[in-house]
Amino acid sequence: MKSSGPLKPWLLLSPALLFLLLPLYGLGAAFWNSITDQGALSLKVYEELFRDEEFLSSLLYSVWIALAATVLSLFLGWFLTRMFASLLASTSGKLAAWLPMIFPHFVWAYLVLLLFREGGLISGLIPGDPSLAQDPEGIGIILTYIGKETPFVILMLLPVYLTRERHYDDLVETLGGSLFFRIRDAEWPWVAPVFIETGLIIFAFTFSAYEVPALVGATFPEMVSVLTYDWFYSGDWGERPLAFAAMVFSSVVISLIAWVAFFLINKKRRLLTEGL
Amino acid sequence: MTSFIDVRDAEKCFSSSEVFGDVSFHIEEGEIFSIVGPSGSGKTTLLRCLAGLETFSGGSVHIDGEPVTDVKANARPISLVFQQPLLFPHMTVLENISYGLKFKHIKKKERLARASVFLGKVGMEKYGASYPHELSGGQRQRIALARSLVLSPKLLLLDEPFSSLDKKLREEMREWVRTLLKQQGITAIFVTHDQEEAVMMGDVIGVFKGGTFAQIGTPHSVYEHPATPDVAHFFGDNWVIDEDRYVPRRHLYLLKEKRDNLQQWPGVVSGKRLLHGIAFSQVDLDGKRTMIYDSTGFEEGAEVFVTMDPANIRTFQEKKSIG
Repeated sequence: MKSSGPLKPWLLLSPALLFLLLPLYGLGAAFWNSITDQGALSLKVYEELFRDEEFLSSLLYSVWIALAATVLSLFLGWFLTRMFASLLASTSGKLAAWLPMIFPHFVWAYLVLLLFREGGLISGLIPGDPSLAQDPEGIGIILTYIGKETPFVILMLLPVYLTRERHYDDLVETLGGSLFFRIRDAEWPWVAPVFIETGLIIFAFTFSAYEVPALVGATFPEMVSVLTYDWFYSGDWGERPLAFAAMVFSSVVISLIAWVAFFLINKKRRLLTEGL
Repeated sequence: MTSFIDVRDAEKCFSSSEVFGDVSFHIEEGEIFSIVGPSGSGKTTLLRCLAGLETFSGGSVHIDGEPVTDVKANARPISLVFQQPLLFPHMTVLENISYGLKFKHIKKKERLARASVFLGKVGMEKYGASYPHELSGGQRQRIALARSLVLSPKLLLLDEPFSSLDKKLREEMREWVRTLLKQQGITAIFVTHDQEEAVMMGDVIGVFKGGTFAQIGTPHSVYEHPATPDVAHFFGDNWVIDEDRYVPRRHLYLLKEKRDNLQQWPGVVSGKRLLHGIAFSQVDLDGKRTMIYDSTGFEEGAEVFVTMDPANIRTFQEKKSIG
């Protein structure tokens, strides 16, 4: 059958849309469960959620971990890309940077556990043998994410550095600008859209992922994802709506941040890609 | 008395190979110096060294009596216009022009006011709020020029600034830029690989070949009296007889049959050209192709002899600098 007209794009998109039905159904069902109470529409679950001190401290803890992991990975990745762009472009460079990406997050988490827990290979070398994994400050989680997300940042930023017009550096210099202005005006405008987008992806992931905090996190405080999982699978079915509400809340907040960031960087990106 | 711009014994080496060496020249205030040479002769590297983007391996540069050889690029009173306009795509035209004034600690209002003046000087008053992608190639290069001029540099360097433009626009821009630089009294070095452009733009031209100046002089003197066979070849309007002698091509003419009392070379007419209504024959001569004025009207494929009046034969005088 030959398709044409306004139907065609929808037909082409149908496999993807069908695939998306599953998570969308999950999100919709979670949303519905979170706004109903005994069959009637109600915001009772959300009221309960935001009165729950365990949730609020967990939320702050999650924001702190996700922010710290995101900011540190971004800046470490950016620094490494800037310094070694030409080296990273070679096959061996790419391999070295992207090898950590092959391992799943839980493998990296076990590695951090082995190296940084009390008596671990690296912790043992530090005076006082501190436990830097399964610690209440979440350093183990942050270390795991830095190890896994830094190569991702490099992967995203490397094309920007390999294709950017280096004469802009010379231009700023001959017009009187220092290194600071070279980075600010000849480099950052091109890096920023990818940098911010990558940051959003990492933040959304580290904020909501389960396996790493479950493996290298402390029993208290817990990240929202672990808390939600506990609520969902606890024997008490009464806590399930709370788990749904927490999930919906996280999704909405992340979507809002992504939307605002997209809106803010879109104009600049358009100007940069309009071509010169 | 020393000149406004004084470059002495400049050299540049990368590891063991020399890019240029034994480079000396001087420029008076308000003068335009054209550097012309084939691609890869090291002229862009010379410009980058003058701008401070690369360091000289030896020699000295003085501007208005002050030594600048060890001054960093961002502190030199020199501005560079690149082959590409390199406008910041995320800034408006006015912001682009005023960009360098920021580093002179001038307040924003004053910066924009000065930029507006130069926007007028490059004839683009209406485009202050436009973005670079809305401009044509020639307009972008004008803005790039305004961005350099607004800084009132003591020396302006132009690195083949018209190379990305089409032929017609390039010719318009040459004339326009020269007029503007002269009006502003700007001292400038103009780098190009195009001899016609060099002659049109420069008060003085330097023929750069193999990493050094083969000859420096007024366009007329270099054109009429090339110092070496290389310069004579490069300017293309001379027929080099041997290492010591040449003849301007306008003095060559074609014969159907050999004559005894003249120096002459056998050749074959391989094509015909009309330039400004005058007929020329393209003659293959000693494996080289050259255009010669043809009053007889030889047919393509005709066997001819190229000759000249012995009085028009000149000898190379190895005088490197008269500038």
